[in-house]
Amino acid sequence: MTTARIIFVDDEPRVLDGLRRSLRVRRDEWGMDFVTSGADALELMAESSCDVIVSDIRMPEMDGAELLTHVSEHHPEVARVALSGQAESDAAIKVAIAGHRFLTKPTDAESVSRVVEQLIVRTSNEHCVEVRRMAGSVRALPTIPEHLGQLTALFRASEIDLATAIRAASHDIGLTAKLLQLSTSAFFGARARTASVESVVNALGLPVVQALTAGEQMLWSPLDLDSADEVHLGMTWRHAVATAHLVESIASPANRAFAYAAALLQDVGRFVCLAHAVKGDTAAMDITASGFRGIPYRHIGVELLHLWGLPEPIINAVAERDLEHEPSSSGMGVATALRAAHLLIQQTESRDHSDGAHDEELAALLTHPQLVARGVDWRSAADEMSTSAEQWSFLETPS
Amino acid sequence: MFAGAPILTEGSDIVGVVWVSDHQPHHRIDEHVGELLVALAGNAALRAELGGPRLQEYEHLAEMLQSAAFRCDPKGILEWVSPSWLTLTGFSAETMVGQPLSQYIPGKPDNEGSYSFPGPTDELTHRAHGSLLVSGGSSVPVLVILKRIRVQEHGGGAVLGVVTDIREQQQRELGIRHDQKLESLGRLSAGIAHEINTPIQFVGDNTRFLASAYQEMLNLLFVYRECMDSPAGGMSWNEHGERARKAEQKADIDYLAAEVPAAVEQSLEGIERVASLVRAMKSFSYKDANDRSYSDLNEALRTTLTVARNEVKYVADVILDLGDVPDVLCHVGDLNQVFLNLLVNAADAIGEQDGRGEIRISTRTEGSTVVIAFTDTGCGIPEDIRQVIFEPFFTTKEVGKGTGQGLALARTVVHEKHGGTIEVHPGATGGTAFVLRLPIDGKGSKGT
Repeated sequence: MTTARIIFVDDEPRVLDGLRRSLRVRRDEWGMDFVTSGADALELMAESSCDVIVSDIRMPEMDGAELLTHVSEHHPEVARVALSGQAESDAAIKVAIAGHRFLTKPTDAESVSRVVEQLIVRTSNEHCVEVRRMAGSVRALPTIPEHLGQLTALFRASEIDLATAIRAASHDIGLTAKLLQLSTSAFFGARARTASVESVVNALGLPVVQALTAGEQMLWSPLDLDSADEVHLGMTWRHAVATAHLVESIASPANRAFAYAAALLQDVGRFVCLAHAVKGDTAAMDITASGFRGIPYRHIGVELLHLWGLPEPIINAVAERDLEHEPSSSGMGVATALRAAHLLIQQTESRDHSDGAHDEELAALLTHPQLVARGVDWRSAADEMSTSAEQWSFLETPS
Repeated sequence: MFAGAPILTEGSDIVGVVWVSDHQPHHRIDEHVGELLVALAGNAALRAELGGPRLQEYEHLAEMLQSAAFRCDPKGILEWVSPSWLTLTGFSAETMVGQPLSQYIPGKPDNEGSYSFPGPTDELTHRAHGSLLVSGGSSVPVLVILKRIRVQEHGGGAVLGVVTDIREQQQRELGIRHDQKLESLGRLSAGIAHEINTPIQFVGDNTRFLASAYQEMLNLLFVYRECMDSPAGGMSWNEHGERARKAEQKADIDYLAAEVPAAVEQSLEGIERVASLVRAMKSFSYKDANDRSYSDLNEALRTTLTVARNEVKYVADVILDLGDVPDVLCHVGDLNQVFLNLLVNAADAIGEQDGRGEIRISTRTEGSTVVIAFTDTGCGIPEDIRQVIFEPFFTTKEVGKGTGQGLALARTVVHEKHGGTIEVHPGATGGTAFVLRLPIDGKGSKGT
């Protein structure tokens, strides 16, 4: 196995010297380069391949946001880590969009090592290079075209209230993914208490969320989708929302936030591909298919969640959504809860032409003591969630 | 706020009051208005054909005024004071009339807060700050506006005046100064956090490295000790040597020998960076606004630069061209604030443009003044707004980026507190130059 290659960028040579010394224990596993400018880093990347870049934000000439954005476009296979001592500036917002992981100074070598180590791991075995390139190129996921206007107006309004913002963000796939990505670090100050959009928005504060959504970088939609694709994206989104609402009552309280997020992000791979394809060939991508050029959308989505550092239970649940699950005798995990909710919602959606393929599995899952004990008619609950997802609107005020 | 002046007839009867009011809560009436009112009142009196019956009305008005008005003979003996004087000071008109004005507003010749009593040929309107005696012995800061008028009695002259309590205004100015300090503090604190974070990052990394290096060296030392201790018969010298060499290799002793001293040196350097920043912060805000002392302005400029380094270093190189200047009698805390505003403005002006710029800070002595110049290569100030940049609330910065108080306060501090001047010129190569002149021996010295 070739050693991983990491590039560290900081305009302060002393910081680089410190990192070089404290990361020296890794010298047999990693090839490390330390450079004092973005230009030097890009030059190195042009010469030979690289796995991870760790960059300071505030630098003269090319700052960290600019560098990471450039890397996302020209070297999408390189994982992007921001290491900064300052987070309230406009540059920090740009970095929040361009980066994969965020570390704040002062940080210790172990934290840097841990993040780099995770990023070297690739989730897809068969298509690891292509999957990393596709997932890596994405800075923000697209929102579905019919929602864009409403979301944009909502977040740019001067008097948006917290409840409305949380309700909207937790029903948009791209925003949910980005906010959960930011929740794993204390980059903007406070750290979120749970993996829910609500707690992330509370931790970041509305001004940061509004700053994040202000540019066209964060809230966007592909322009050239044909109507069939738009319809399919709408269905994907409604399925995600219905599943998310249902899984909230299926999952145990401890797993609820994870399960909700996993349900909303279950088909995130399609959005990743869409974002990636926009740069080249939307035509080559078939949204209704299960993959892109032979690579399952699921692999691409899971790689993105991994790159963005979302909590493990969410990633696993998304990865295992299409695997057959058996009810375990112990508590129901996030992945099984998602699988059960997904099958229930799927059944309500395809009632008229159900092939009955997963009927047995679902029936078995519904016998799990955790679900039985609740005394809920899960099939009619699923019907209800599907209907309410059909009618759901961003503009409605939360009751 | 109100301001007013009495209209007095030649017989020194009060026949009316000219007054203006401004209902905006935080709007202070321009001091020129007071001058204007006194002049107007004099004019009105000359032309007055006002009859007795209305006299009472004007006395009521005078009573309602918040400023106190008075009339003196040419020697400064009070002939009439408005009823509001009583409200202001607790002294009654009866006790005051016939007494010299200087008893109630003591003139302090050649000092701060003095005003000059107009002489026989003086027809100017005088404005000055003074302190007004109130019953009980304390005093109140006031603005005194007075003018000699032509009358038939006293050989043709009398002096009219208006006395306005400026405590509220001073309080407000203090508030604005405080707001401005907080604003620059907020901006600075983010920069200072960054300036501290960076050394803390590498001092931490180096210290962790030193801890592991120490452990490796200690392990090596133990191997050496074992070699020394083992009984002579146990192992040959060659075997000892071989063991020590292996242990050295494991510890990578050559690397440690090279890196440990560098790690120590850089850690100490980092600690010094934080320490000097903390020292600068302390001296930046140390001096109380009321303390006037002889201070080294070159040192003050260096301090300001250290504190604001993070605001500047990404956009400009700062060139210090500090001459051999004597200590200046000043409120150094206030001047630090002025220097900070000028430095941050220069950095912002350069930040507006592409590419790196230059800020030159120079000091030199010129006669009895010290001249401090801030010259930047930034975007410059268009000629049409050069006149208004010192006005309060004038700003070209985005909403939320500046309150427009920085230069207004700079002018107040330099002009009023130090008797100096502040001028703005276009820089030689584009950009802007701010030139401050401060009298070495402070306000009121020959330098003013």
